[in-house]
Amino acid sequence: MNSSHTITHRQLFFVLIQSQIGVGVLSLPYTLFAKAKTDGWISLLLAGIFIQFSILAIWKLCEMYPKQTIFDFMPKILGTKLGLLLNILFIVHLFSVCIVILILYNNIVSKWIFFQTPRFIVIIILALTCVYCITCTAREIARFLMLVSPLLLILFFFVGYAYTDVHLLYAFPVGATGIKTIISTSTDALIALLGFDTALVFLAYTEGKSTSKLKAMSYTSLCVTLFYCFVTFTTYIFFNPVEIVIVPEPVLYMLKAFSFKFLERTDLIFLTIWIVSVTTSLISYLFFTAKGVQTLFKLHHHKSAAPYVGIICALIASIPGSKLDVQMWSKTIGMTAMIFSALFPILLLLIAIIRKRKEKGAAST
Amino acid sequence: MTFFKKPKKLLEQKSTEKHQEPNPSARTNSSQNSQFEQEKSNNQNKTINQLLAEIEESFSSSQDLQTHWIEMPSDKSDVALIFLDSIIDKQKINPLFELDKDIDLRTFEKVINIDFRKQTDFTNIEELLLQSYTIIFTKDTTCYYSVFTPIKTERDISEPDNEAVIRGSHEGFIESMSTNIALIRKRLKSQKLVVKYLKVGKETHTNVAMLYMSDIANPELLHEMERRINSIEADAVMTPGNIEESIEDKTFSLFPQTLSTERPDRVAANLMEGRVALLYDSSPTVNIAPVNFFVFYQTPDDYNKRWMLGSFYRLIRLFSFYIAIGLPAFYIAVVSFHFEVIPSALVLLMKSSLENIPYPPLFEALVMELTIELIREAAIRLPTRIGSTIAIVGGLVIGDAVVKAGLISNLMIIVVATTAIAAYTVPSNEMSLAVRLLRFPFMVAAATFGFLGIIFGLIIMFFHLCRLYSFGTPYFAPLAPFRIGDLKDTIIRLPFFKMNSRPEDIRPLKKDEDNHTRKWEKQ
Amino acid sequence: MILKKLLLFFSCLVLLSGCWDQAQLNESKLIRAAGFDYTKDGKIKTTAAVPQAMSADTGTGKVFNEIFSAKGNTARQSRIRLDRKVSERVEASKNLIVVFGEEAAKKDIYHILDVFYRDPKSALNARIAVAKGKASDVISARFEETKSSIGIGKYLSESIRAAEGASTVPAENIQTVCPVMFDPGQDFALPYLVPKKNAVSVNGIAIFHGYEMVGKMHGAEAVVFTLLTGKQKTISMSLTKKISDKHKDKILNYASIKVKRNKRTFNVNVSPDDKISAHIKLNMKVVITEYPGDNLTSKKKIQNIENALTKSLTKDANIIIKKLQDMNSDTFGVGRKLIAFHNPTWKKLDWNKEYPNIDYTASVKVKVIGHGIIE
Repeated sequence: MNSSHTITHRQLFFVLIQSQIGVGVLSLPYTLFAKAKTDGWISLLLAGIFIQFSILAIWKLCEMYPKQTIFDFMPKILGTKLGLLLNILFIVHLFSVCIVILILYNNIVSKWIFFQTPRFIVIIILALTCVYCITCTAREIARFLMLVSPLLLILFFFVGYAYTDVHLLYAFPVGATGIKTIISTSTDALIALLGFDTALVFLAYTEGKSTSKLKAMSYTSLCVTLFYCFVTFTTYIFFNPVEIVIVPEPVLYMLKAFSFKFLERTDLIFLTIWIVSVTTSLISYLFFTAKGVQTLFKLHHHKSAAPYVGIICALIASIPGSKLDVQMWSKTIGMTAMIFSALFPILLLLIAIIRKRKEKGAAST
Repeated sequence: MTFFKKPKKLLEQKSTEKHQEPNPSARTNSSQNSQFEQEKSNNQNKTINQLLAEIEESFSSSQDLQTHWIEMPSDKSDVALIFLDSIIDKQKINPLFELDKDIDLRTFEKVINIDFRKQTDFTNIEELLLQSYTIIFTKDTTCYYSVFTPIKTERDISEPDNEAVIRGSHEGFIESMSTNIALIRKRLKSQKLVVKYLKVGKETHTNVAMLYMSDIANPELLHEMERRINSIEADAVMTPGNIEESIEDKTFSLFPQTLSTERPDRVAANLMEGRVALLYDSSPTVNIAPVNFFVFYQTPDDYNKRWMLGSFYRLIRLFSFYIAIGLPAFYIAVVSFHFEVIPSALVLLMKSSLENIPYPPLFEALVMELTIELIREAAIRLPTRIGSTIAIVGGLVIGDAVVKAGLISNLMIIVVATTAIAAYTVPSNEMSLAVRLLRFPFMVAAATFGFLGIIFGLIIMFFHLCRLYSFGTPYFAPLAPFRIGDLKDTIIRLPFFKMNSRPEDIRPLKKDEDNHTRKWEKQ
Repeated sequence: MILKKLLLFFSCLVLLSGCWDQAQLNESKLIRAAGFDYTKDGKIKTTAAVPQAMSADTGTGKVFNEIFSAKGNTARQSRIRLDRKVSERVEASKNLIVVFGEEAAKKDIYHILDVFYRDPKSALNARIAVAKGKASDVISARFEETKSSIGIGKYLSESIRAAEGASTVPAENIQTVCPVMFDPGQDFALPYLVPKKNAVSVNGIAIFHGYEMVGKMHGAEAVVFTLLTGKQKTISMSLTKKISDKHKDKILNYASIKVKRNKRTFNVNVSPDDKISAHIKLNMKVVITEYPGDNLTSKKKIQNIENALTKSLTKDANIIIKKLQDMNSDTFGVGRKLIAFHNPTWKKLDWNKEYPNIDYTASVKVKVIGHGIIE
């Protein structure tokens, strides 16, 4: 691995933040509300704690196999054949994540601004932009993701503006839905928090002490969870509990009513900035995918895989048309993504540890 | 002086006529000699005539190559002077012809002083001649003498037109490299300032001088830059632009990767940051590399203002970057996609101004932007006085008439004019051009996808900036990679005594300028 | 290489195929005010005001109000029909105000507003108001001010904004009304417009329960109503109150005050036997802006005025609350408090039946903190 492609742990923090915050943020309050009512934000906090385990697992894995991506060390843990199979499965999973990002992005864009523009066009402009962005090293990607991070503050400000007209009482009573519902809802919240799994590839490029890497990862998940919580909670006290059920993108809807003296319809501005967030998470995942394809086909550079990955994702993503299709796709892929991104690293770590123990045992006897 | 000159000219002509006679015979000799190029330097047994003939041959009998003979009374031998008539200052060698008694080489040396040098290397005679040297052959053909007799064709030092400042030095570079180096040395009186001469162009032999501070500039960088310059294998290198294009990291980019300037103070300041300056023969333009994006937005003026004002105007300039690339695009996106964002108080006003315009906003904007570029281009070509007339005709008359005729809305005029002004606030001409060209793709993107098009355009542009390098240093530093310490002289300008360290992106050898630039303590 | 080719190919494709969602500003008609009425046969009649600038040159010139109207079975259908009547595309995205005729408001406003909530382009920050009589009369009337410079939408919207500043109406728009409208524990109120000959008068508030208008309040009552909502401060929250009967000269019996600070404490209690009681306490700091009686030098005199004001305002507040209870409109949100803090009780009861009978009172405490530049 070329030493000039490394990133610092500070850059890792921003890379992960940008990969985590993405399409989910707009509809997250709605999905959580559908199950846990106004306690959705508690589920979110719980999910934030759950993913900490996955993060630990990912970190440990990458510490055991330094300077290697998941595709490099999977065959080492599971053996060549099984490793190859799981590599392929993992790449398929990554493809599906990219596809679902594109689908959800198109779903919102075509609902809010582009009513007539063909799906494929809306999807392809994002996909091609991202393809251009991933044809470089991890370091340059990290630089860019760090550069656009201040935009999150603007999103934060926009959402915070809602506090000019909130009804704090809507959030009460707290915990009415019961612990069980809250916990079961946190699986839904988990899907929105996905994105930390890109650490499986970016950690390979990160230099520095491994504790500071873990710190960066944990802070990321903390920041993202809090940000999501803030957004969710804000929408819950802005909208009436009865109303939120019929508003699938509460954040945008909330902003639609705000107007400043120099600008109206803040939702359009928000949407525009949100697209940067979508782009950044797609960049991370596409980079991840391209790296996987590179390892799989033993390419010299992931650059040559990038256009194919992008185009294939775009083509598949433009298949689902109706709202129900979109829901089905995103739900199925969301579940598989949760298994692969959140649970799989833990499993992999366990196998790796057992294997190491065995090897040690074998060596000692 | 004139009195002496005239007879000498006559004499010169006579002498050339006289000594052109042996040439035909010599030429035949030289054709044989050319086969023995190797021997030429070794075998010094040729006559002066043979040597002269060889030179003449290599210059293809160019008629400004002239030969003169002076008879030495001491030993009755002839001394030959050969030079390129067009590029030497004859006044410098005139005294040689005025000596009439007892002259020998010593007197020559006395008359001409330090520029008189004994040479033995016969291979570079041609080169010396091309560099305004006069070559003197004596009967001893194992060596020759060179006299540096450059003609002064320089203009006076004046303030560069496109980089004028309000306060500060008004000196600018001129077309002479040595004068330019002198201007820099005047500002950096340090033994650490190193000048390194390089030559590019197989035929043009353009001199390039590389200037750097030996204790600050990174040796890797110097090595890389030298390597790139030396690997230029072109026959002719006519302009600094040629060199610039052959050494920059990415030619397929709109953004300039070296800073061109005509201001010695700017060069000196950048040298002290660890950058390298490239000076060229007969070009007032000096290129500075490596640079980052924000260097193009600094002017020497910033440092002569109060620091808060300096910061303010720098922010204005950086803001102008966004206006210049984004304002027409934003306007197009708003009026043709998202007019919901226009505040209620303004929407009717805008609508009424647009009401009867027959063309779509993109077309309107393109027409107006191109008109502005036309006016600009015309104003450059024309003499200054007519240039301002054109600006008035173009700006006021066309603008007014076009609105009155109902072809273009007056709002569009405001947008286009603001954009043009914003583009001109960039202190560097190259960056200004880049910015002006950039707004066209943005306009097209905005007309096809509204805000979405603009944001994707911005993403691609910023990503391009992030992956662009100038001699291996990140171009968009200190924002990407982010270095908070280096922001002090990029986005804003902190007081002088706060600037205690050099920007990190150029990896200077000495990071700290000094621990405390201001030593005294406040009471 | 393949990337470059692809990029080139797709950019050509995109540029050649053109732009699908363009909505040129100069090719659309902007509705600035929309009115909704029910016709006798139960259809919805939409009236829209589209102001057109008379001169294209300056933009500040005269505005001519074009009024269009169309009928349909639903709000959207009438809009579509309206669109067909007009030469260019009709856009409601810059709408400033939605006016309901009193009859329409009494039926159900959500049925009509649904189209606004559903459309991604609609202006959710438009104000809503109820008009006396028909909304179409307000929209199509030619008022003195709308003749020359401003469109009807702006005129109505500005009038309401002035009233909001004076606290005679609550500040609401389509979006802010929405959560309250859905809330089973809270209701809302909207400005009530009365068209006069030359001008429109914002003449109080229309009280809603659920989606329907159930009553109205006028003038001074509306100010106290706004104070009771707990609104902190507006530009001029002014009241003129009768504070005594002693003087023969009638004018001397009155004092005008301006509320500087208004603090509300709202308590909802449930007794063990599920009796609900609610109490609103207002703590006002006021400045006397008019008191012809003068002599505000002594402390006693000021206290007298304070007492008189306290008494009179408490009385007003209680009258308002009684009225609201009679209309069964829970505009201050007693129910919301119950949901939040006494959720079990809330689940047991039928709020619509319970609300008119709860023990609901208010008390106002006035403190004079200033009296202009003379004593």
